[in-house]
Amino acid sequence: MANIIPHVVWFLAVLIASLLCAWKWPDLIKDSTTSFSTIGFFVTLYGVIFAIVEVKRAKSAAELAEHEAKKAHEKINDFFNVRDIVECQKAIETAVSCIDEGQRISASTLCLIVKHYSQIFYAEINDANSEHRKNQSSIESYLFTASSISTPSNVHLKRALLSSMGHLSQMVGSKSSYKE
Amino acid sequence: MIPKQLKGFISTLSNFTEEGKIVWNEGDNGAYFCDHKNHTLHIWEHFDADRVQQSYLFRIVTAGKSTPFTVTEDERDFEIMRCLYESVIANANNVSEDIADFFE
Repeated sequence: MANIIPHVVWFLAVLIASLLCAWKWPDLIKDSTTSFSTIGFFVTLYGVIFAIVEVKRAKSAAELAEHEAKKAHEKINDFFNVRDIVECQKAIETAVSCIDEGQRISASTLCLIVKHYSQIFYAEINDANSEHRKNQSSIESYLFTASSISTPSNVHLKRALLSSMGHLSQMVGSKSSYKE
Repeated sequence: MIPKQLKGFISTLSNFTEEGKIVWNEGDNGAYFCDHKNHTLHIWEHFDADRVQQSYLFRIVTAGKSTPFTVTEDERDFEIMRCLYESVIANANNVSEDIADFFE
C-alpha cells in the first residue's frame, strides 16, 4: 500500500497543475485538438515522474542490499579473525608455559605466533614505532638466535609474548562486544 | 664477510647508530634489532665453542625477504662488525643519556 502513495501524490500534483493551467490559460482547452495535446502533455509528464520514482526506489533497494551484504561479509571476517586470535593465544600460552617450565620452545610454535600475529595486526606492524612491530621483531630475534644456543635466554621473548597476548585479548574484546 | 652490496650500507648504519638517528632494541641471547620503516635489522654475536671462533651475524628483513650474512673473527670485516655491534649495544642501552650526569 505504501508503494503507491508517492504515485497517488504525484498524480494529484500533476492533476492540480493541469487544472490550474487550464484555468490560467483557457486557450489550452479551446477545442478538441488542443485539449488532446494538452492532456497528452500532462499524461507524459506523469509517466516520466512515475518512472523517476520507480528508478529511485530500485536504486535505494540495491544500496540496501549492498549494505547488508557488506555487514554479512564483515561478520564472516570477524569470525575467521577470532578463530586466528584464539589459535595465536593458545600458541602463546604453550610458549609461556614452556618458558616457565624451563623447556625449549619449539620453532613451529613461535612461527605460528608470528604468522597469526602479523596477519591480525597487519596495519600496526607496518608502523615501525608500534609496540606490535617491536613484539614481532623480538620473537623473530629469538627465533634466529635460539637455535644455535643450548640454553637460550628468554626474558625479552616472554615480555613480547605477554604484550602480544594483551593485544590479542583487547582485539577479542572489541570483536565480541555488541555491534549493531 | 660483508657482501659487497652491503659494505656502504653497514658503514652508514654504523654512523647512524652512533649518532642515535636510528633506535635499536635488545632481544634475547645477545641479539639486537632495529625496526625502521618497513625494514627490520637483526645483529647478534655467536661463539662457536667447537671451533673456538667468534662471529657476528647480521640479517636484513624487508617485506618477507630475509638477507643474512656472517662475519667470523678470521675475516677482515670482523672489526667493522665488532664496532657496529658495540655501538648498537650503546644505542640500545641509551648509555649516553645514562652517563650524562656522571661528572657533574
